[in-house]
Amino acid sequence: MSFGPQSHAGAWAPAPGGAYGQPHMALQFTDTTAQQYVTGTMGRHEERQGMLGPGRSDDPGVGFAAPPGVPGAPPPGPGAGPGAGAGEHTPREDYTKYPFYNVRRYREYFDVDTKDVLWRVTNSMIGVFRPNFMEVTMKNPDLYGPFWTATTLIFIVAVANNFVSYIDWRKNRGSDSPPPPPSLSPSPEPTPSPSPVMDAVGAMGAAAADALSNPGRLLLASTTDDQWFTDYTKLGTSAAIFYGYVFIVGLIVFFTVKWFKGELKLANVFCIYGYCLSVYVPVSILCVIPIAWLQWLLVMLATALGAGFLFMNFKATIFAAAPARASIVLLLIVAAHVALGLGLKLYFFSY
Amino acid sequence: MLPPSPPPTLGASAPHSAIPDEYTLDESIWKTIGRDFVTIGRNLRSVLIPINWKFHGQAQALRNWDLWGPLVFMLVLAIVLSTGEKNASAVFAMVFAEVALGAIVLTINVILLGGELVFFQAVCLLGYCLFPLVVAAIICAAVSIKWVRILVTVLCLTWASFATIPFIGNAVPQGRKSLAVYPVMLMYVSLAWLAMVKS
Repeated sequence: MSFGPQSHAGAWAPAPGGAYGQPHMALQFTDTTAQQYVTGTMGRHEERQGMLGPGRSDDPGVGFAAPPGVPGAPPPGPGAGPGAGAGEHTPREDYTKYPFYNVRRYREYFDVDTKDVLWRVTNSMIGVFRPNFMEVTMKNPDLYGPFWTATTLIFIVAVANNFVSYIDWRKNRGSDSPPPPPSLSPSPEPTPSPSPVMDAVGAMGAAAADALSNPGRLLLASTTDDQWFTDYTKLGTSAAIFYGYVFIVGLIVFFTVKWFKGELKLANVFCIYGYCLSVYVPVSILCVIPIAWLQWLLVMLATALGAGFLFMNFKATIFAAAPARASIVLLLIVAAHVALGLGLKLYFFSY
Repeated sequence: MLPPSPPPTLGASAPHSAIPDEYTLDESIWKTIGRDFVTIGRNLRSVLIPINWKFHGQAQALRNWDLWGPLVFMLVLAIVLSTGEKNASAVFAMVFAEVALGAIVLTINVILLGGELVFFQAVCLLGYCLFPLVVAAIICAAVSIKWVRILVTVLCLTWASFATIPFIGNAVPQGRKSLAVYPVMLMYVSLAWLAMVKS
């Protein structure tokens, strides 16, 4: 809740360091309920200040069952969470007093303000031209951006997909009848069904027959109908792709760099990979416009920006770690991103 | 019937329902259910009615939180949105998973951002704030005039946001309100979209 003046990494020129941290110290809660939290947090904060001093034991493996709230509980061993690779940074605030199953332990990775997140999103879009994302986020990587960027993309792609299929459906229906808005009435105008059997039976029968017919027919019918989760499998796929790209490719990059004995934290990799997806949010909205070359242009532009962002920010680290093979690794990173872009264009954004 | 409420519920609700605390064990089931309904109604009113829209008003009311209300609203929303669809069970599963997991993930998100929330209290509030969306879904399922649907959806979305945002926004430190509010809006807007485009 309260972060000390030392909490800020210094990304914002006008108010660096202590001046920026001040609002957090003076929590401006106007209600009565939060008052106790304020005092409680202050108490914890002082504890932390004390703990950061001399005897902070880094004894992994002992404190797995440490009760919550015991100050000075040793951190659990590596592998306890998403940021397990982040070993050797100095904590601004000792979250390790929480056991690994306590959510509050991972606050370290959500220690960002709105301004920070906005800066990171902006920087990830223009990262090619101003590649200082890595330096700025080195001390304070967050997982908020990656998670919610991917989630936003999943939702927006689903909504845009649905919107476009709705427009298509309206256009197809508009030819034979004045487009009545979709209704729940028991006998809706059934979509023009290809088989004569469908014409014979009534609307209710049509529904039953639909349910019984093979999945291929079902799919065929539902493409002409207006439905939200017509392609709900696509939603699952998009979740797998967006989360998977950040997580798996991030892991691979992390272990590659570690293999070269480079200096990199896992949270940093996730952070960069997550934010580099944020370019696709406006693009996936704009791809609703049904012009093929424009869609290609947008997606490729976004992919180029993202790949450039990744390249510029990983360059220093990887060159420092493995000067000989750095170009290959960077090339692979860029190639993976281009593959992602192509896959997105061919699978999702072609609506 | 197992009341999912914490022990303080009984003490807090006693003045309203006029049932002595110690005798709830041998009361009839109908009385218990009735008391749960009263709790649901009271929580609903305190969450959604625009009187005393301060954070502490909601928090005090939700001190005796319950999960029956959220469960009912989630189920009704999922059922309403899935009826009449081709693959109704898939839509049902999708909607129910989104609202149930969404409430949990959003609460965890607020806690991670540095807010202090009572976990089930926040889940309870997020669940109750689905009520406007349930209304919107039902109206949109019944009415087929397009502008009515859009209007109703927007109104209900505004209502839900106004009920949620103060609670969520005040729970986190000053500079992070929008970080906490944004995911909530993402969930509500997607649900409202679902309700609006439903055929």
